[in-house]
Amino acid sequence: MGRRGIRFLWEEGGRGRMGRLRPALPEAFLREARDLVGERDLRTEEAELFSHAKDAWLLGGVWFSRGKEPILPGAVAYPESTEEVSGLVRLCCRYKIPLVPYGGGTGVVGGALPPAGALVVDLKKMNRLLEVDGENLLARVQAGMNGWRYEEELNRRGYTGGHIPQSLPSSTVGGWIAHRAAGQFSTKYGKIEDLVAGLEAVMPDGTVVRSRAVPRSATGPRLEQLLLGSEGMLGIITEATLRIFPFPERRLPLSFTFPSLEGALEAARRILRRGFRPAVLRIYDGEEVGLHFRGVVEEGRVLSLFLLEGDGKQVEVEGEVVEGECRSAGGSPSGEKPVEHWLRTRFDVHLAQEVIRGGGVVDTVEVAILWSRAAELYRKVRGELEGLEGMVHVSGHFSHFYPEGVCLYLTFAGFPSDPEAFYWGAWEKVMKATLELGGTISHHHGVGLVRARWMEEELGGFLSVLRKIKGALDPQNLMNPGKAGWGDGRGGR
Amino acid sequence: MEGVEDKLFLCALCPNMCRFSCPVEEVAGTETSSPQGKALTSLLLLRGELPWTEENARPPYLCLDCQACKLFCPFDFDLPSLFHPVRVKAASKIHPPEVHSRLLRMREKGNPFGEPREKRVVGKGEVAYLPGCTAEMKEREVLLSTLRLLEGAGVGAVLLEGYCCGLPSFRAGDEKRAEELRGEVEGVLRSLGVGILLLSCPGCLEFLSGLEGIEVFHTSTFFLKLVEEGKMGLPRLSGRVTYHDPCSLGRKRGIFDPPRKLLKELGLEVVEPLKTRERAVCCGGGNPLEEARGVSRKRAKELAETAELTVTTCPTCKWALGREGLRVLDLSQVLEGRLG
Ligand SMILES: Cc1cc2nc3c(=O)[nH]c(=O)nc-3n(C[C@H](O)[C@H](O)[C@H](O)COP(=O)(O)OP(=O)(O)OC[C@H]3O[C@@H](n4cnc5c(N)ncnc54)[C@H](O)[C@@H]3O)c2cc1C
Ligand code: SF4
Ligand code: SF4
Repeated sequence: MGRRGIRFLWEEGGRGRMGRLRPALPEAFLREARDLVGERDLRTEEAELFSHAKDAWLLGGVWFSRGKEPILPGAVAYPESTEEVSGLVRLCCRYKIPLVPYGGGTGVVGGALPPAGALVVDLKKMNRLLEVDGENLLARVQAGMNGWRYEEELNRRGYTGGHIPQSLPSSTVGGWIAHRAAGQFSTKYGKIEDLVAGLEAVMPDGTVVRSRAVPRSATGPRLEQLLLGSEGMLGIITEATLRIFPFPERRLPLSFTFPSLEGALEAARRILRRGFRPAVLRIYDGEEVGLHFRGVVEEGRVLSLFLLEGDGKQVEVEGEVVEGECRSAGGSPSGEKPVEHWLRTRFDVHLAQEVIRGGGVVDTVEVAILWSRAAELYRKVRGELEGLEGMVHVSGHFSHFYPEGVCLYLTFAGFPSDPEAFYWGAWEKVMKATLELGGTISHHHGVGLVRARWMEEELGGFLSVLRKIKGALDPQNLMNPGKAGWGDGRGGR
Repeated sequence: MEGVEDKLFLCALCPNMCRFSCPVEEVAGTETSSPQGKALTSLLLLRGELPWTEENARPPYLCLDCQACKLFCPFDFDLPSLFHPVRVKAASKIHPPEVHSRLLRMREKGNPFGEPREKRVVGKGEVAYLPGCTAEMKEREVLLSTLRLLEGAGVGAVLLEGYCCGLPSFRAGDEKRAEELRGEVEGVLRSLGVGILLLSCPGCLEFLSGLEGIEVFHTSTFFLKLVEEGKMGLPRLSGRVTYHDPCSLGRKRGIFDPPRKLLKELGLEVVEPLKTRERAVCCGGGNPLEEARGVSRKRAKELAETAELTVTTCPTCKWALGREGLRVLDLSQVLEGRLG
């Protein structure tokens, strides 16, 4: 993967020789960085470096389990203010040191992996909820704030952020924005890009930019949107103003099982088309029902799970519509139990670790596609993945819904003879099929290192526009370089 | 060790799904203070893949043994017990300076405060009362209230002074010294021939339970029993207090209700802090690292915002929270009728 001369990731290494892969940063740089953030907030011990040499990309886990060693960053800084972030960025520009913003490290695409000898700028000490504005339904929050703590603080005050990704316990606000994340309740509340009302960020030259929170605006392109999905390559997000919602007055759990995926999808499409927005809507295929709902839902059926929430009256009407559409598309009601089960287990993440410990390879891939090709895409990728040597599990669910289409979330696992070939082979199948059917290769996990090679096909002419923007804003190519297929800034030179 | 390494490996691969619950991570804000970061570092140290330096050996100690994370772990891991083998190695190799002074104090003086003290066995009775280091040396009011309450209820008690249960040594990784100290307590109990051991400190309770033939009580449950048996009268009080659950009593042993029940029987209104019962935040007092002090500060603030007076059932919690300016009393003091 060390394409274009930037060394990332893990190398074969003799155990216990960690220092070997640890490039030193210039003493003068370290001294200045220390002066800026303070002794305690500039870390160079191996434990800190190693902890930032990985994120939640599962291929990294596979390598780790096979004894490979990570490429270490040169230092980790924990700024406590926007001024400190800006100072660090300017310092890196002066010394030509690459830098990588780091939030919770829960990204699953390798986006936060530092190139050798980079400065990691960890935002987790910028962790305060600065303001909750109930009248205007806005919250101002620092980028390093932990998601769970953010939601808990809002709940205490009678609100919800409406953004509940499965990684909520560990991810940060800045990471959500940098990856255009989606929460489990996104069908009602939207993805993070729908929730950002204003931003503060440090640009690649160290200048601080801020946008006010306004309902909507027509004063030219809203350039803060460049940071949504920027994956640390166009600046460091330091603060966000996010839309919030009154804590739901009522919640209604419903579930239905269907003999086929097509029926479940059709019911969902009709519900969305009629203007209803269930907070949670998840459609699981038979395999996932077997894996996650054993003993709760009849085996072999497709499960549609709903959690409706909001104003009491609205929920009541929505409940009737959901019930009517599911029944008329061939669904049978299966009660509240599956929803309760899901609510109880939705943060239980353990299977992937167990597969890797057992010597296997596992990953998840999410894409988005129009309704008209959704079932076709599912069938096509399933068939192709199942044909790969060593594959033992392929399953899928649909989990974020729009009037025009859906997100398909796939899980695959195998015990192949060549793990790397298997891994990239599986990704190739899903990416190609999605592009062929006109979908987008990522709905919410982002690009990072995993999807970089398909970005030309994904973006077409926009890729060179993006590269030009990168080159113009970051001419030295220091901000999280080498990522996402456009993070090298080639268009700028 | 295989089992421990295997669990640490699974934890090292986990995307830190309990991160938000860890009070040390919340105040330290670093990756290596997060549960997964501590597990990863511990694993690498055990495997010899990280150099043993003072700084690299810090993360396994950045844990308050509070088990707040356990509630959210899909594997039900008990992280403190997974960090323990690393601490054992670190104790004899290299460790943070704060741990170093704790180890020395425990070795030389037999208590975490490093002050000299004598072993004394005072009085006679069927119950042995071990106040523990903090009640004896820093929060003597707790000890005195407990003795007066016992006397008032007509319970004959032997006071054991100068004894440490050994838990501070154990947590610092010095198993040998911990065993010696626990052995001394067991020895004196055997020589006295008592069948009941009464403790003010939930940490002692955690470490001394399981002594054969000896029934072990914490003061909160013991006093409730005396009240219910009609052997102990309660004064009438009025006012609002909040209650802080010590980890070793609440989360680890499920003793949430007896202290609350007593407070209510006294006539007090008990308001719950934001994080309470299973989710109560550790006081930070049992851990010598600088970061733990930040946890104390944060918890003290939360309690101060809940009510004017906090009641707890652990001398170490009282000491650690009081040190941050919180108005806090031990239940035994309140049972005597004190509210200030
Ligand atoms: C178990 C699990 C479940 C998940 N569930 C979901 C889910 O439901 N929905 C979803 O959308 N995602 C999910 N993810 C993926 C991941 O949690 C998200 O991508 C999340 O947004 C990453 O946030 P983070 O703070 O951990 O970012 P990191 O992993 O630290 O960083 C991700 C990227 O953002 C950049 N970055 C981080 N902070 C900043 C900043 N302040 N400014 C600029 N750039 C920054 C980094 O450089 C990197 O490129 C899941 C991951 C796991 C492991
Ligand atoms: S036991 Fe407490 S301090 Fe230790 S890792 Fe768990 S939550 Fe953090
Ligand atoms: S203790 Fe459990 S939940 Fe927490 S990081 Fe480890 S494996 Fe994950």
